[in-house]
Amino acid sequence: MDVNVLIRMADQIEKNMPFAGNKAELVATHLVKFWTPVMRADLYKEVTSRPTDFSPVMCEVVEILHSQANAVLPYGGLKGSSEA
Amino acid sequence: MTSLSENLKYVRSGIGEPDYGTPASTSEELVSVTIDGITRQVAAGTSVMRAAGEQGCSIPKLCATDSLEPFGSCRMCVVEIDGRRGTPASCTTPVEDGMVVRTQTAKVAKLRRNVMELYISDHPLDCLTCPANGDCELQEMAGVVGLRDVRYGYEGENHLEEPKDSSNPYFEFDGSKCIVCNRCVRACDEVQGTLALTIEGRGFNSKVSPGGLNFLSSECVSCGACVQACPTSTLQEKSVIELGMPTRTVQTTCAYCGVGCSFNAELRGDELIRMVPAKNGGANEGHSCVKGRFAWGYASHKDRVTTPMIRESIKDEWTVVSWEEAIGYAATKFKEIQAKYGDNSIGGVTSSRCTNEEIFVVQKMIRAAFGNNNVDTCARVCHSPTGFGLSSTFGTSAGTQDFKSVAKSDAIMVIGANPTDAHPVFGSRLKKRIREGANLIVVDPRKTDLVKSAHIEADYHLQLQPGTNVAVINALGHVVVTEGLVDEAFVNERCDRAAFDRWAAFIALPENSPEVVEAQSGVPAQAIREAARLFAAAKNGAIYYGLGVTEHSQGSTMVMGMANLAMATGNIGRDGVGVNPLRGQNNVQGSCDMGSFPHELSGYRHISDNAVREQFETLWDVKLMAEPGMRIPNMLDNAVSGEFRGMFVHGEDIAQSDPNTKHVMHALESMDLVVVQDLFLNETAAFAHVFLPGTSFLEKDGTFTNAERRINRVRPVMAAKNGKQEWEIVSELATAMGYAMHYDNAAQIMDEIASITPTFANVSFELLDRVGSLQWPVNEKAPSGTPIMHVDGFVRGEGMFVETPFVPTDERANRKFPLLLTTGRVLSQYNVGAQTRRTENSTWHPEDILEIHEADALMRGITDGMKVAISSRIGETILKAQVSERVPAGVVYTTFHHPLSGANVITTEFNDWATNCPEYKVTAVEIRPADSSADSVNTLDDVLMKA
Repeated sequence: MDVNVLIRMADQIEKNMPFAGNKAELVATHLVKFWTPVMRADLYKEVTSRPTDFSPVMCEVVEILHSQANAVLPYGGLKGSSEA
Repeated sequence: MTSLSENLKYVRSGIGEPDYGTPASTSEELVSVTIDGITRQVAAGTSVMRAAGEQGCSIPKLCATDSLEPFGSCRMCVVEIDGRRGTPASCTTPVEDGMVVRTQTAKVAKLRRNVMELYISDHPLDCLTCPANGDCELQEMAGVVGLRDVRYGYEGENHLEEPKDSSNPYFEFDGSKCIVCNRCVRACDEVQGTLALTIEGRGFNSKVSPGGLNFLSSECVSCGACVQACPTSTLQEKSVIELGMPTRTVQTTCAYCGVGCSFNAELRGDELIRMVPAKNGGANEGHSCVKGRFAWGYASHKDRVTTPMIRESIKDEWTVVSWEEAIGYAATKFKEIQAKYGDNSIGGVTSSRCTNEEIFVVQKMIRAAFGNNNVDTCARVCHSPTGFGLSSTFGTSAGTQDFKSVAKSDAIMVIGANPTDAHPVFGSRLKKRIREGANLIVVDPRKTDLVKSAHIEADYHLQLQPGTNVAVINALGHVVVTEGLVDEAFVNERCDRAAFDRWAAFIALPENSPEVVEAQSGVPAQAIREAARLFAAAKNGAIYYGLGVTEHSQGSTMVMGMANLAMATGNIGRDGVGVNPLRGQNNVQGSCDMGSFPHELSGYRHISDNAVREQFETLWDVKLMAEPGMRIPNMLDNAVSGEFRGMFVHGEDIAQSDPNTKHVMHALESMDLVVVQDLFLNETAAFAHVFLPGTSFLEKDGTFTNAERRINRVRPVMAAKNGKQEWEIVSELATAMGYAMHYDNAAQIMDEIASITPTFANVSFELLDRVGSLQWPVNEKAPSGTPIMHVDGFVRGEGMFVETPFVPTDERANRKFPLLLTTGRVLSQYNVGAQTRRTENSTWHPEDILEIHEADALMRGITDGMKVAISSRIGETILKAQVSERVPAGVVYTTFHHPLSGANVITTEFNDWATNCPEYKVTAVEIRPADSSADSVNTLDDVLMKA
């Protein structure tokens, strides 16, 4: 998948994330909840390859994602957030 | 109260549906009344006519029907009442405590016969050749009152030479048969609310008139209410005239919009004669629109494909094959792709046009047989932000009310929706309430009919610039908070107080004030302030919204903004209030409920929830992936990059409906295998390798769930033309892929859904057939369903206020593309038009039109009817221009019903931040008169070539 699309999506999520709390954690939770593992991994690779091009929040997001790569999804972080 | 009589006669409105003459009373007070010697308790306010009918004692009538208020003009229903002088009309006389009524006396019999004699003296005596023979109230009443002769003769002045009006494609008006009972006029006024008909002239010259030249050129919207109300053959379906009266009926559910109207499909043998809206339909209560009532002919259209087909390459011709070969071919190819490119290289899309049962088995096939979670649904491109927004704030992914609720609303805010066109039967309910005096606030860039039409005028039209919804909803919230209009008791009792305090502090910021927002949205600050005060002060304030809310880059944020406003004003959890999505397709709600999204299983439970997933794994005897799969745009993006190679497209036309057509087509043609299951070879099928013919709604057996969470039965009216139910086909494909899936019937699938989906726990076909319909949740706590959500508390516990900062879309007007294009629907067509374009509905809308403001047209040398080229940074297409006052300067509008128009050739890749719902409603464009080559545009490929 075109990494530029992923970056645009992630950037948009960061910009719009409305929930109260640590923004990086909220964005990371959103990505874990709605993105495929491959998409998250690709974003991690891209952000960590040129971190100065990204916001501090996004850098923190991918670190959180990386640390959770093999962890159980934090189900309940956005309890009830569905798309239907 | 006694139960309604099974034996009631005097029926016309559909086979077998009783007509009690006047509407039921809603009073809880009971009075005692004696009719023809039988004493009963009856609801106060009930007419004598209805009370008599309810005990099985039918009073003759002509001008009365129970969908309309009593009129008292025909004098057929006269009765005698002890202690009263004369012979009052039973339709206009309410029962009173202790009243003694006699409906069959010599006196009233003579009066009725004399009245009937007058009617018949000016009526054609062609009963045997009349289309309504056997279904004519006049004919029946003449028999009931014992008319044997007409003493006046038939030679006098009469109306027997009145001309017929056959202009409407679906029904005929024969003035010679009209008895001027006013039922059609009143149906148009009271039920539909269009007020297209009138009685022209006075006395003997009185006649029904649609105004203007004829029905087709009039304001008539062809809802069919007048035809249904007519007691004679004056207004008659052309299908009945041509084919004769139906002899049997099957109740089912319309497959057009999310209102989900119940219809009696009336047939002769296996031939469908007409669809008559069912009075016992929970969503529609006997009303219909031009699509559901008349536009069902597509099901037997010559374009319908009923045999499976395959081809090696999309450049090859199709080869008709057996089911076994088609399914085997698809299964083998899918497996080959997975073997070569990995488990995640294939996926599928479920359809909101299909039944819950069909959708459930498709997502099951993908999760269990494909072995991944790459399942998504067309709700992705319409109401996915609704689910995200409402579940984040209220705790569940659904609207809060039933449709009836609007009758109790005092202030109604309609945001980004055009219900009179897109959800017409609900639109009629809404208009009725407005005519009764409720206030109306319309938030829309375009002047819809709700802003101003017959007897309807919005108190406020907040005509915002496309893309500024969130700014405006925040400004409304700002007024509520800063002017002390918050329902503190509701917030304290029902909501998360800390979240409210955070939101209140945010919303009170000057950046959210109407004065600041005026500059962003173009809506005068004073209008925002007054509208907010009006909404907050109303006893019951309700919000209804459509795709004008969701199809934005901040669609999810806007949904949460509306939820904030509803909670802050205490408008949740009772009749007349709520936040209500008007769902686009018939089963959008159901497709979401059934686990069509890549991250969740049925009942909105995340795929990573081990406990839930394990339940499914146990039931399905398969290991499921624990991570979310790809959404539709992810699948398409990955197809372009070569990682996603095969797709099962169930009843959707993503090549026409999804944004940025060029990109979608590129993705489709990049895949090794596209399997399309549909009625027609649609635009997507042009890229398919396997075509599996589907079933129309008239052939399906299952359920749809409408926008009010109402689960309605869809019953097979006729045998499946393709020979198989769609769930059978999907089960066979899953089995061919190595995962054995078998059901004997659709009821078994619903039983499986109920067994594993808490909100559907008590649902079964048997229960639905017994009670008619049910609104989920239907479980032990709510065995009869849940018409209103969040009554005693929010599903998530406490209502959650969420801060909703306005983040303007990246799609902006600029010097190159100075206009903003927004899109919508018209009444007569439906979505990509696959169904309605194959009916006479195209009479009203043969092509998509671009509405443009006079100033913008003048500046570009564009005149009404001129072909114009519309270009965005994505592409270009050609449409015919209509200079219109509906859109403001700087905004243009079109529909997307015709593939030739290629509206999505120009829509962009921008989408909702949370759900990827496309931003159809904001595209920066430029318009110019089209050059002569525009005339040669005749296929979508041509349009693409020009893009």
